[in-house]
Amino acid sequence: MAAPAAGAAAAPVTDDVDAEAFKRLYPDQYYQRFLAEGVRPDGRPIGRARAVTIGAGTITTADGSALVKVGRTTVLAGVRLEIMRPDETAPAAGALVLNVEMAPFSSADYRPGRAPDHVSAVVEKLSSALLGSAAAPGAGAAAGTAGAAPERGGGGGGAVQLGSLCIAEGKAAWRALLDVYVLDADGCVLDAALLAAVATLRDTRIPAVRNTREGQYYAARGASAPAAEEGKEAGGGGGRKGGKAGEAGLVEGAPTAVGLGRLPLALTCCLYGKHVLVDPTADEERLAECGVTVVVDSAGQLQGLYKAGGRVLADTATLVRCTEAARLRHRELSAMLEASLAPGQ
Amino acid sequence: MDVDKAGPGPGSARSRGRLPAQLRTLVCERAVLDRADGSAKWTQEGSSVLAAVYGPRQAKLQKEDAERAVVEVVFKPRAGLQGHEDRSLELEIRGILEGVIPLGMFPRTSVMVVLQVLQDDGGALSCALNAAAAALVDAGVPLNSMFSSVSCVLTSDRRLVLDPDASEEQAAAARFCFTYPHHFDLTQAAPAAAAPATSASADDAAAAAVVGESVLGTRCVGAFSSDELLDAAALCRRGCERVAAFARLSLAKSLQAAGGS
Repeated sequence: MAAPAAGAAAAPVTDDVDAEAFKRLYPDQYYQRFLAEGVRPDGRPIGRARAVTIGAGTITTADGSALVKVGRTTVLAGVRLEIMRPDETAPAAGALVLNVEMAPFSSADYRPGRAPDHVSAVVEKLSSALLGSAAAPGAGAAAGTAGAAPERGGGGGGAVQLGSLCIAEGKAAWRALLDVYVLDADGCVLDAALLAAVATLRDTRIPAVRNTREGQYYAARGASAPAAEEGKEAGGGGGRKGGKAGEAGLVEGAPTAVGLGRLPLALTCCLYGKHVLVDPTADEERLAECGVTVVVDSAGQLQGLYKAGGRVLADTATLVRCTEAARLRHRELSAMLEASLAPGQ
Repeated sequence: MDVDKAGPGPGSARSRGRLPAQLRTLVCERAVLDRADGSAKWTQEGSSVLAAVYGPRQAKLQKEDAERAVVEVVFKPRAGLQGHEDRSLELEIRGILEGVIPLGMFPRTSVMVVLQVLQDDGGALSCALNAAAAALVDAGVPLNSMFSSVSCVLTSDRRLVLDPDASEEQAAAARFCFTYPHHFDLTQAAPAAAAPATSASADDAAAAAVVGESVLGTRCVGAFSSDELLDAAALCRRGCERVAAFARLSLAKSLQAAGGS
């Protein structure tokens, strides 16, 4: 599109100004021209979110993984399980350790050293959606990379049911190490990261657990069928509530999947003037500086609503519009999630 | 929602018999720090936050913006190092302040707001935002509008309760924090216009606080429905009116005291 610069009305324009240059010099006018027609630069109508691709089980070495692309935003998540001794305060609960990292090539704003601020915001909202706000404010420890302190106990309404990760009460439970890598940050990183985390947890297949004579539990990876037979021969080793000491074999009744109570999914809309742009790209986010993120779950209940940026005020009508858009998006995404997980299982 | 009725009974009444829509005692001290351009300490009974404003002053080269001021926020928790939640709150507070400070007026400068939580008994974010507002006024930074912030929670029996303390926050099904802009309508002067000079300050304080309909910033976490969200927004808006009135009263008193000495 060749458009003369808005301020050069008087002087004769001999060259056609490059669209890219116009966009950099006068971003507001560039966007206004599109919004006047009711579309955005990438061709989407104002109220439409980007296309999503979910690839579950992409990493074979991890216990669960998912690669999610929302437009150009790409997030890869993986889960690795290990057995731990549960905390005394919550003997029947496992743990979920969340770690979010942004790859250096993900955005132009990356600077080596301190992680960018929005990573912390993503970690905090992700852990609040998955684990609930049971942890007291400020309990998260600062880590070198954007890791979160391990959360125990399934309180506060988080999506992940930590009780489902228990193998033997007081003796063994699963610790899920969930790593989220943002490979390309082109707007709405939280939405993509939450979708990837949820898809990964759904995709996770917990390996069988065996226990030794001394009461040590270990994971029996890669030997599911023969292990089951051995277990039957050994007379059904330890029960769920801790086998009798001295009994070796397969632990029966151990969990096979991570319990996800409700499926939290997020949608970010940015407010630009009078428009509500759904699912903005990084350029649009930078321009608007004002966004509303809504996290909904499968029952249509709201799990979180964050409005950041004060340049544009949001009245209740706008908030309601954003929540409705988030609900529609949830329906669309959960159908897609089921479709991508089904063939594997 | 009937939130102005007294609590349902001795079993479920709030601590110290507070009504569901009653705020805690507010205290605001200004000019607490000598070296800062502006400072304020805002206390809501159990929660207390100290805010210091430095600016507008020259920004560092890497951080400066040629067209507008840069707002930096540091939010320090009561104990321990800054965690993810604290950095996330910094981002949110910065967003709110960027909406309220006319950034284009001070290119190449920076306004730094440091918030230190001294005591945390629930509603720390609201307390911090109110402290920041008072400190900005104390520093003399021009503002597009004043703002005030109030928290509320949804209890497990689906009732909204304003200005929670820490135990209510922990037991809550959902927590809300709303920040509304407000201004004062001086055309609605108090009827005692011919009163003697001693009640001039009362006249000032009687100017009605007009809280905006739209939200500057919000943070809602938990499990709640859209109706509960809208009810919480309306309840917090009413709370903001009272905080606004208090802030003006406190400012008038401190200016009087400064003028008198």
